Amino acid sequence: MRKMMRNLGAALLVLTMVAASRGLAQTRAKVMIEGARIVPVVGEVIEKGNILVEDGRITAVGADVKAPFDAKVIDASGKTVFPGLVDPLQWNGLDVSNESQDVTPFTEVYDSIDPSDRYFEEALRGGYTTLHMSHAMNCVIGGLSRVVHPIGMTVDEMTQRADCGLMISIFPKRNYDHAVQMAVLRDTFTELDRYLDELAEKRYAEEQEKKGEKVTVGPDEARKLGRDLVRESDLDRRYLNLWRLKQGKIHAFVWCNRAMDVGHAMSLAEKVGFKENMTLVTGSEVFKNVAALKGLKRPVILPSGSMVFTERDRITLEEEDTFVASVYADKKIPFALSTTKEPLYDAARLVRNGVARQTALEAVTINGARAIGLDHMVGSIEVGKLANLVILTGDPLDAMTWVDGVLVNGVLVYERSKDKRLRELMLGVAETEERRKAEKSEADKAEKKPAGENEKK
Amino acid sequence: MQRNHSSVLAILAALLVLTHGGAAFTAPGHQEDEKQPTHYVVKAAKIFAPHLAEADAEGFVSDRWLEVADGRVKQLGLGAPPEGVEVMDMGAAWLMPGLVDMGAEVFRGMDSDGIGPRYVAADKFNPFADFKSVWDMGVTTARLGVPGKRFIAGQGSVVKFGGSPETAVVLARVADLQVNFNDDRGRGEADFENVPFPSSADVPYEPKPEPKPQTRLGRIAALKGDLAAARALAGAGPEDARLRALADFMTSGRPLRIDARRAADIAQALEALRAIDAFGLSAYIAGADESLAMAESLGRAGLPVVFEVDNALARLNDADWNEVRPWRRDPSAPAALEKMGVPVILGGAGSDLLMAASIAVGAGLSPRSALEAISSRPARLLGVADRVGSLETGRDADFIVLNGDPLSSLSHVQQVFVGGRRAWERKVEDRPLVVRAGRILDGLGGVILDGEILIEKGKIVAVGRSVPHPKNADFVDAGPGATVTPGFIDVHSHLGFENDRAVPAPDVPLADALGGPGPEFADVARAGVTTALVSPPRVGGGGAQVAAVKTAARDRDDFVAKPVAAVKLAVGGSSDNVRSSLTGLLSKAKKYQEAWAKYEEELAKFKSGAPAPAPEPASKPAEEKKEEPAEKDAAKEDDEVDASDPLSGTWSVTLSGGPMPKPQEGLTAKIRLEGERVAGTITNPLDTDEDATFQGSFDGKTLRAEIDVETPFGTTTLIARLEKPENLSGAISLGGVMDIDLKATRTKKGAPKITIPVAAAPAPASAPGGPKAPKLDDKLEPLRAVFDGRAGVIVQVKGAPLVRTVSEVFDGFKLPVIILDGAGMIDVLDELKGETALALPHTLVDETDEKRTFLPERLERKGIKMAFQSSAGWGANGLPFLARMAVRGGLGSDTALRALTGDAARLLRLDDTVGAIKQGLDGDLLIFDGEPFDARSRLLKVFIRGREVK
Repeated sequence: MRKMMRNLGAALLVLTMVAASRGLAQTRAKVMIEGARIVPVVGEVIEKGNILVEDGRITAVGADVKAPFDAKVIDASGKTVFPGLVDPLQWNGLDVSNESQDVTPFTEVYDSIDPSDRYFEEALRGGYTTLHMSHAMNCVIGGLSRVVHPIGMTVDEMTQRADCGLMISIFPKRNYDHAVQMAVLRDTFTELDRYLDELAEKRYAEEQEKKGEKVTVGPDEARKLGRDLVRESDLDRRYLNLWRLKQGKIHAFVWCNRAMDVGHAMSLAEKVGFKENMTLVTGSEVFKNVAALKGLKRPVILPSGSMVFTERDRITLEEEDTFVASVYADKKIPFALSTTKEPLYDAARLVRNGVARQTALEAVTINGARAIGLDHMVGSIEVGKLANLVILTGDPLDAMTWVDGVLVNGVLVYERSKDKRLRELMLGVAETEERRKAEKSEADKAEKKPAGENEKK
Repeated sequence: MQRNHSSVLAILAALLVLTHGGAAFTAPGHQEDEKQPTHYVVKAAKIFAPHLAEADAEGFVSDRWLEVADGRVKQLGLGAPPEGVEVMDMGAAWLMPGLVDMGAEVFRGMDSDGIGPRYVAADKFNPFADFKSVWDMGVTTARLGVPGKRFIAGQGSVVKFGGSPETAVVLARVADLQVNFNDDRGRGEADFENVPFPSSADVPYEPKPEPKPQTRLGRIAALKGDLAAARALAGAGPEDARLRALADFMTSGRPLRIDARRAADIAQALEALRAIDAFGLSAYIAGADESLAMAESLGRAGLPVVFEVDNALARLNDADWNEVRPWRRDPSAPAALEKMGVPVILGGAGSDLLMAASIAVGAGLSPRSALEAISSRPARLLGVADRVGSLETGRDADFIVLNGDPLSSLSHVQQVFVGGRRAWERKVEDRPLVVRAGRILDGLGGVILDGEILIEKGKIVAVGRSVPHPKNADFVDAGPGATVTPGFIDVHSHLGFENDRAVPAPDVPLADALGGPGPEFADVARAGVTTALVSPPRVGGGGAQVAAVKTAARDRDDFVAKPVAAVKLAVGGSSDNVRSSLTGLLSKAKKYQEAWAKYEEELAKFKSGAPAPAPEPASKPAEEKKEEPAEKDAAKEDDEVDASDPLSGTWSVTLSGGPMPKPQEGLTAKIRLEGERVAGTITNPLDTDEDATFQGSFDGKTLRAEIDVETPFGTTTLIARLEKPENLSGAISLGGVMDIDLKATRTKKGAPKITIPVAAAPAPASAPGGPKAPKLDDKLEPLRAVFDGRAGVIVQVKGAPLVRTVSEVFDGFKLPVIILDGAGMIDVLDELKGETALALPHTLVDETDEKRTFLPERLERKGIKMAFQSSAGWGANGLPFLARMAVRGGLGSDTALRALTGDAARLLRLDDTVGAIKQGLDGDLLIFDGEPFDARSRLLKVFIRGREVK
């Protein structure tokens, strides 16, 4: 019996998901969120305002936005609307978080995302609408990452941006030290250059042949001339994504666990040429080299596990803790929190440790979007951006606030009142059973009723 | 239902935020470097500078100073240092270039196996690491090696351990190529393992090949083959990363580092080097355990050798005490190699290079060579001699400061400078002191020959033939001819009171008049007087307090050793008058003292007997009584509504702003006003079950109170103004970090009952039921201390008869006394009673109209105790000279010393802190280069509480 109930629960969940994803497809609808306190992160707070969503995008925000006659109205009076949260680095929801081999740019997280993973359900419940799914850091170069929203039955349905970037780890993979890690990294890119030279030479010869001309230049010149002739389709899969990285077509997420790693990261980026499309993922010790983080194009990513640095004096054995985000905030290094289970709680923790409120709010929204190069689409409530919104019962940093609803591309995909699992989590087991029984008998009654009515007739 | 749950969770989460959040963390950011001079001169007792012609046999110079400018050595100068340059005087310290370690183990924790020539050790250098344990050993430069046992393991690098990213740098990315000729090398080359991508139709799976090379002969062939292949590469064709790295190395001009431990390995290595001679590579041998047997061959080959001195510590770390090693490292190898003309470099001894050098010296290597073998030679071998390894002009100012001869086991690194900046310093606060001398006179008549004294935190911790030597201790070896005595005591001085004409009463706390040791004290301290009993020159009838002070001190607490160390009395007139008045005073004081002693005894008994059944019923009703009226009052006043009372009553409070995400309304506060005092409770927004209490004051307009809640911020205060009747507005401040706005309106008048948990008040001096304390008499307190045995007595007399009288009176009370100024005392010496001591006059002569007698010798013969007094302020530094004169006049020097130390301390009841070299006493020491009272000997050093007086 119990097993049946569980199956029923699972079926219900699947049904809600199907319903939601079906909704996602119909983004033509106009949606109006009314009467809410709007915290747009970029721009001023509107104490009571409306947001109009058309075709999945925000088309108007303000106190006096009028609802078109055909808009579906969501009454959010007394509630707070906040941008959908952005996690700039996440590997929960992958079947495994790391490949066993060193250099795997030919793999894709597309193949390892499991849409039915419980993590996505939790992420949605926590207010996340944008997740950058990537391999974790126990690698030298990881697979191609992808940006998704936590709703959908297939990876394609979930996808927001297909090809995002590669995880490159400066901090040594397990059983490696820095010297081995760096040697492998350098060799990989040297080998790439050699391959590209070879390919360029070949392409040049091919083009010349097509034109019916002979190759009259030496190999060095041929390589130079052939470089621009290389097409994506020419590349071996082993080199494809590394080439795209070099071309600036995808991003590099460079993991620096130690302060010393930053220097290595910078020189590698300089040498390979991905400085412009690089985002640093920083460990807790990196604050010691905070000066090196100045002038980066993008906010750095701070995994929630790296928020506190603890150091023990080698002689006195005294321990000292440093709250890393406070140092970043102090030195005006923009950062985004990642891999956090409780994003708003962690943002509150930042404030608790002296980080300005606005900086804390940015760390879970717009800075995450900037870190993955999607700040033109998500991360704030602005006209033209995707309608990825969270409806909160109160202020985002208030511990008593709940996520009441979540919109992805303008579709209400999560409502707390309909969140069965949450209700079950909040209730005791016995109460759950009772409620289930009550629901069942009610359902039974409802089934019987129409029959009775018919009889009366 | 759900709402309830959510609010409980929310409160939990809020508490988490509060408790888990920041206050536990220290302020973010790391310490900024203190401002350090960039141009300065360092003076030290000795500087290791073997490159100078004048250096002694061990390579040291003793009269030069080191000038540092912009992180580099400017010169080792002679004579007066340049004008206007800051001078750091390191005193007796020895200076050396920072040591160069050939096998640093700093990053061992995260090492992985070498992967062949592609491995560059510099990649793993972490300039942000904690280098304390390296600096502790004096190392400032090190070769980062390649771990593992591969045949060609990787490239070594040279780094500097600096205190900041500017000084912690990679000196040489490529220093050498590590080749392993040991018989135990385990694995083949890395590049045959782990195909970096899965096999497919076009990428065949390559099986893991057998490790190579397998045999000794195979090694030579493999090395030769690899080098040839690398040279043939010449930058063209599809490339092999490993060979490419090898080819790059071959053009670098750096040597091969051949690891070869056993004699056979070394022989093999030499053979291999001959085989690859054509490639023009240089090399050096490392490990070289059995190099003693191979000394001759190594000498012929002319290769530098890095010899690792065996060390038990490393074995402890590696837990391989049980390892059966069929060979041994003979520490005499370095000496033997040097004889063959081999440049030896030392390593090992658990990274303690100085220890390794000492061991090599013990086995025959010259000290100069041993020190070069851990500084300039390794620097040269690694190709960084133009930067580090010596203190020649232009080198990096990397040097270490030791508290003695670097090769002595008792010396330790105290400071480390890298690039001219002080990177590390051993903790200096209350640094222990070890003094060694040929003779220690303990001040009580005892002598220790060739003894040592350990002083920690200002106190003598150990005395004996040998004492513990803490690592951070300053070590002073005064030499075999030196004598150490306790610091001298001046029993009657006017230091600090020179021109004081006051006649203080006995209840005037004299010690409070003393600020600190003025300039006049310094001369006295340098002369050897470490403790002085000070008082103004004049004294009244009732006597005066005498304070004991240290003649050199860090601060005022350190300066006043004992506020009331003695009572000074002055007597004059007829013998009978003196007798009766003195007896009267002392009897009164004795009675007073006895009353207090009795009270204290009873009190102690009462306190220890408190849990006994007798007093318990007595205390219970008292407790009940205490509570009852409070309840009654509260109950009564709760009903009483005083219309004119603007504050008392129940208030409805709204909190908003600050950390409150949204206003909280309807919180309840109860306030009770009594006079100007206010007490009350307020709902704690975090914990609605328990109200927070507050207490404070109300001045008719403004309420100021402190709320008793625990926050990570500090004190929580409430300040609110009564803007209009029945309306309060103000703020709650969380430790000044943030404010919560508060608005309140009164909903009910009348003073409510407020229960405020009060911390238990300290028990009163006279506990109920306990003994009653006698009346305190400030005038008699000093004499009470005398009778308690906590203070001494000094009596100034006029005339010899009074000497006898005073002696008799004090003997009657069984008290020791020091008598001053009894001219003619020579006639009454036989009549002195008990513990009467005489303070010697400046002239050392007892002078009356009839005769002049040299006192000290006479007193010694009679067995009468004597004490030295200066009776002076500025002139008090003459006291030790007085003692020399006394000895010159015939006083036994032992008696003279005791009169200045142990005897004086005992008479003044100071023998629990000063007057002897004994465990537990103050570390006040004098070091003489000979007999303390010989006019030829000099006072070399004075220590007061373990700190040298300069």
